[in-house]
Amino acid sequence: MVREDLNFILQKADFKALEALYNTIKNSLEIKVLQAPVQQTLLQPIYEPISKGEFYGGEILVTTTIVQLTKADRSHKGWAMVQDDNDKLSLYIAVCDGCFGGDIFKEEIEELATQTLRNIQKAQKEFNQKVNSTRVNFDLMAGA
Amino acid sequence: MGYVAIKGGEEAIKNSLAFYEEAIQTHQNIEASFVENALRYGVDRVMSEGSLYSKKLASLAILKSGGDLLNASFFLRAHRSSCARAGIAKTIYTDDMRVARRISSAFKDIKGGQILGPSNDYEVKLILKKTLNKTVWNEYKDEDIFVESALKPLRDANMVKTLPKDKTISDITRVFPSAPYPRSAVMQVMARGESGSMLGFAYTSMRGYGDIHPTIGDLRLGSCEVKFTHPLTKNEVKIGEIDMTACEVAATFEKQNDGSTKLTTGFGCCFGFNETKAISMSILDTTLYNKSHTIGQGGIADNFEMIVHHIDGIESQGFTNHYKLPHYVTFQADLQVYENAKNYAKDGEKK
Repeated sequence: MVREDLNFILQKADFKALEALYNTIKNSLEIKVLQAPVQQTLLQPIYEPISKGEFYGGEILVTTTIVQLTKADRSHKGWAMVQDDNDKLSLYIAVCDGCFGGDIFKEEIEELATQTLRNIQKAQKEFNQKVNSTRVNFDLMAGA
Repeated sequence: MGYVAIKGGEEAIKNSLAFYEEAIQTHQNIEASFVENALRYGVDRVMSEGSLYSKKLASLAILKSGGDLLNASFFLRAHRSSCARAGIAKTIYTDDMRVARRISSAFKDIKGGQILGPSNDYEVKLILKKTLNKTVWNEYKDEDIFVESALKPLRDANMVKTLPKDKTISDITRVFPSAPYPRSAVMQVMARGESGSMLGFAYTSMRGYGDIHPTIGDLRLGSCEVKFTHPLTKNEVKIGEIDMTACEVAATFEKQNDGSTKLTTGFGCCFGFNETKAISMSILDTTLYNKSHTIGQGGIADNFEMIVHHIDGIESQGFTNHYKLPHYVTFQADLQVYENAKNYAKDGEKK
């Protein structure tokens, strides 16, 4: 697992587990919020096959946070950009991102992310089964 | 006639708003997450027309506007303009969509197959109470479905007409271009256009003010990944997933300037699950860029001015609704002009 995986995976984590992890981290190091969770937008380009060009399909609401974590005179910055209006989620993930980058609580973060990834994959497989159940099988009519 | 400035009505306005909120007060007992699920197609429409992908805020906007989807889109569009833009995400390729539904009416046997997905297309439209037909899902394959467009083999065989690519991508939220409109601007206008207006304009070409009769080459609904750059590591990072609808229609064969004959196609794509809008957009894309679908002097759906300036729901709703705001002076002036004209005509008769 790499640092960049966390931003998406942890958005799907059990919120209470993520909050508990954040509280544990908060109690052991100094967290300075450089940019409080703020709603921003991302402009989304879409590829269109007729001209092989792109156009902007709209904007996506995100909540962005930047933090600085300090432990034993060493500082690490953390960042998160989560979908939609989610202040706490953005803050918690930014803290995890900074920790992961600074090798602090890396094991705990990875454990939560790995478990979450399993849950994501399980939910995806269940969804895929529903989608695959609607696949059309054509039978040719006799004599046609 | 003198101009008399008036003020007042503050109390009436305040009470009117309170009355409105009281009239739909039950919405305060409904969780936005219920709306997100139970009214998902309404939520998707609001996000698409509001041009802001936020299921949470779109759901709140629907509640706040008592289910008036145009009004809800207005709330969302207004919210969008209050947020700073963080940047431009990585480009989405709809061929990379994780498919939830994908059909083609042009080809029966297509790579990836015909997948109905969640749909009530084949339901008899009678409002009857019925029990949910539970299916045992785990009997089916659990593999992901990623599949290229059904029209790709025709494109690879150079059978499909292409259009010139814009050198830069227009952003109509910053600068609204003048004619001739860049293709990227036209597509952006349509991507956030009002579904009903787009359907209406597309229908004009089917009904007789044009001659389009397209075939759905590839219609797909599913989720696409939103990616950005991590500002600290400078590596690509996944921000999330968004639901989208994309449609490619195939229209007719058209002789090109170089003497070759190519298939005309149109592309439609929008936020959320809204296939009527995506199909309408792809039809308008076809009629706008292929004059072979124009009859006589030209119709409606092939006119850039007509489409670019008349399909935005927020703008057209705003202009339409502004007429109900005080126009006392305007109307008094009209009456005065009429009285003056009448007197002038009378004087003329006397002479």
